[in-house]
Amino acid sequence: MDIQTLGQLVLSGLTIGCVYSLVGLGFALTLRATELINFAQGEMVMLGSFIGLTLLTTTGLPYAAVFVLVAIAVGLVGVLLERTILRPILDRRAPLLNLLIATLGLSIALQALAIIVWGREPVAYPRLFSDEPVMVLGLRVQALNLWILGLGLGVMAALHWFFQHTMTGVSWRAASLDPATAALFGVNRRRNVALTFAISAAVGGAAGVLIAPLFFASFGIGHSVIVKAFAAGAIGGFGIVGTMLGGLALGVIETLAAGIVSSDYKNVITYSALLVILMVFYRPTARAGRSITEGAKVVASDVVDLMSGDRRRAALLVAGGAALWLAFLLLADTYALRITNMALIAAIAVLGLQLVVGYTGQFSFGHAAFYGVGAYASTLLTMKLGVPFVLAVPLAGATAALAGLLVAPVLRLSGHFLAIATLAMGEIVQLLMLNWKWLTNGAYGIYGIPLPSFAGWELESEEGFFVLISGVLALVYLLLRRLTRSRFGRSLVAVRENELAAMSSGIRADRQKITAFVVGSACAGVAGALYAHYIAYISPESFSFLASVQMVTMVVIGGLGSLPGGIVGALAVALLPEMLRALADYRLVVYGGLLILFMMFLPGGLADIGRRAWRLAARVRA
Amino acid sequence: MRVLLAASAVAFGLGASAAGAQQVIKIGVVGPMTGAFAAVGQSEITGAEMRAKEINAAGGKYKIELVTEDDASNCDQTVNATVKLITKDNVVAVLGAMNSPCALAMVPITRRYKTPQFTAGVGTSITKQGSDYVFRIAVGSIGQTRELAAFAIDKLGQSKFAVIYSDDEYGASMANGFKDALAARGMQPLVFDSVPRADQDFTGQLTKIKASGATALFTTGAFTFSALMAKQAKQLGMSLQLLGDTGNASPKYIELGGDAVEGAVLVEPYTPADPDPKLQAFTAKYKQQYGRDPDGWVAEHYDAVEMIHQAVLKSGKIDRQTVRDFAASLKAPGTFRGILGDWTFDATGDASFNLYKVQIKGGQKVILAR
Repeated sequence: MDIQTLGQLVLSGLTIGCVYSLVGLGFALTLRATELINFAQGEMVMLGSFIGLTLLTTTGLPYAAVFVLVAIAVGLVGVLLERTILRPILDRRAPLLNLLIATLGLSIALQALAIIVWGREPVAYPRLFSDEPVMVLGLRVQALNLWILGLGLGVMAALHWFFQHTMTGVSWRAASLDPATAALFGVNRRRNVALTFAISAAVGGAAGVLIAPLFFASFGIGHSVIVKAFAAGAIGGFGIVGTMLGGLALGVIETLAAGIVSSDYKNVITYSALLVILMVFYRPTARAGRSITEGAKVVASDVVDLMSGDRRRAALLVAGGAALWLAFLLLADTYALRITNMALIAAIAVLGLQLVVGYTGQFSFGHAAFYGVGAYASTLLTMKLGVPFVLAVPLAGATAALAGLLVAPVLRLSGHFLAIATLAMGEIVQLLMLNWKWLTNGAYGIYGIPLPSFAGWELESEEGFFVLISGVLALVYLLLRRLTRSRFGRSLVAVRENELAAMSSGIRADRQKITAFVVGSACAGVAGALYAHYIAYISPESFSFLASVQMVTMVVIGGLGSLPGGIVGALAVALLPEMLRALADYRLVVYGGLLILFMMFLPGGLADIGRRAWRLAARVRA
Repeated sequence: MRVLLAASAVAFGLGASAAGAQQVIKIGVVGPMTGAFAAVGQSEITGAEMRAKEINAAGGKYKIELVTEDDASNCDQTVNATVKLITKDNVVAVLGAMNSPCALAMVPITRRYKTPQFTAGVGTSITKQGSDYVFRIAVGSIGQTRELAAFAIDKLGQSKFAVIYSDDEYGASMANGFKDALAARGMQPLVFDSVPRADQDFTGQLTKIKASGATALFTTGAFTFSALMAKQAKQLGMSLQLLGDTGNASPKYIELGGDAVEGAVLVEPYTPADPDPKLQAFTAKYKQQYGRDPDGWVAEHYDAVEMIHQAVLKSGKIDRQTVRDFAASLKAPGTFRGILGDWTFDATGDASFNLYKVQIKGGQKVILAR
């Protein structure tokens, strides 16, 4: 490769890297000021691109002026969102996971709103500058690229100056390092948080105006950059200068990878590099900040337990449940059974995730990977090796458990770093499903997966699946219930609440975490196997990052650290969009809005309603 | 809730019967109304809706009622929606899905419930599952790429090809089809690379193409992706003969690509460039209602609705099996003629019609051959 081509690649990498840096800065600032990963950061990019487009076409202002106006406008949106939605949740000291789900709801709702306002189709920006390239050092450079680089680097320089040389900036840094001490010196935390959201949103919006002329304005534009921006932040240690450099480096690395190596493996390289960086440079340290699940109610004691104590009451409850189950089986129509079956399959996987996130406090954004491993394992076992269904499902669980054990070293990380590491792990697994074509048939997926059969008798009806799936779910539930009540289960909660204290009382925290993770992965694997035989067609797309996010949502909506909550959460999150079908375009706006409201007014998840009702009932009887 | 629904259904039923002896043909439409492929879903709905409105306005014996369900390009949702349409809404046929994998995931369901499925998904395996109830209302990936490759070699004189495809079922089907078509002529692509669907910067791939000496570039995936490829190639000062399949046949491709897609050659089942007055009238009417040119997907779903209407008209029965049998009976030209010409389906359910070879000149499509 000649030097000129190399230069061209580097230049292009820097341009896209600039955008990763800006969006990544938004992540980094919010993370440092509030310990929150803001999923709606991508939607700030989207808003920026559309507001910019509207300003350009209606006012005819020059590009640079539009750039500044958009940054201000989106910054104001950020402040507004912080005031109305995030501050009430922050003030309640809800677990950080709740905040995260609230921002996820915000992201879903904003995207759906954008579709209503600006339409579904991508829109090209008007031509801003001449297409004739400028020759710089023998490289063909577009005027637009120069503008993007110039404005992007300008914003970064301005931010750097702000944080180094202004009183506000310095006090912001003080507060992010040590909020308590900074407060003693009179630093206003609330103002700082508001400022953070304003700046994050503003840089996100600015990034939107920068990339939209390159990539068109569309409601999904933010989605395509957030994972990379996140990675940029991680590479740079979520520092301000670090994130800037991290984004630029990432842009250059991935462009070079696509130009030199095959682009099939471009993202595998990116994510593997991210994992290595995390594992090598982010040594586990004693936890100083808030844990992601802190503040969640724990179901370690039997006080709030439905099944304990009164034996007659427990029997009554089981009988009631069985009656309800039978009534549903007999009365529900095919469609209701279908969507319930899908939700119950998700519930099996979610119970596993509940063990990892809810009980052990380990953040996992890659659960769908194990779900996928289970689905592929069972499919290949039955189709290629002729293993009977009844054996293939547990084997799929075992395969997923093995995969869980293989990636278990990431559990050395904690908090957000673990979240990012599991995210990268999930992406790598999905990319392998795409690229190991000899095994998985790549992007085509595998179709014609056989229905479950028991000694020659084939299960086909929705009713039959309902019995099978709820049976497996009951089994998994009972196993996990036993597990979480054992000495082992209590030790998990101890690790979650205070890792150091747990270790000082002789709990081997690392081992407990790994065991929980492996068991959780096995649950996902079993669920994936059932899914494959139910839907009869699988492809890598079904096991994406979004599927993992949905599972985390199910855990949080159901209630952290509650097994029944896990099931209820899975049912609620899976069935809600189906029930809202009648709302058409407004479906996702309402769904996103409900996620936010849930997190604002029911931080303990649905399990909380159950607990409160039960306590009330108990009091009345007494 | 259920009582309320039942009550409203009764009221609705009374209203309908009071209006006359019109019978309702319910057709389900499932496709992406939200998510990354929402623009494609838009073509699907508007095509079906335009024909339904025309039939209803004519006030014949039957009235068309479309029941539309969003799948957001998520195949689990596609399957859920299909089950709903078939078992709850009791539709006589289902149009969709637009994403090949999701259309594929629907096949076991439409087969189990013996409901005809009309899909514009082009993935080869959709019609290879042995179902009698699936009909592809588009030309599949093999047929499209064979025509495109032959035209590029014979008429455009190209021999050095680069192929870049988006890493999903659609892109892989098309790219491999194109590769096979080249192999049949004793050629192979100089560059054959996939890109992740979310990626938007292709400088790396383009650099590789430049180094390979390829003169023609076939990109396949979403039209947004192809338009971006074209723009970035132009920015790098590369002049390539762009080639595209029906995925690029949307007017949005030209709008987004601007002068970067000038000279691109596409295959498409329907083109607004055809001077036939009947087609011109169709284009004008669509444009008036929806503010843009119709594309192949619009025409395909427009015809599919009319095909179902015809099946019911001819037999006098609103019945799934009848609709299926009518579609399956279209073996030779002359039985059913739509906006796309004479419809025929082969034994596997694949439609075949001639594709237009068009070139983009001055932002307009010009027919080179059909």
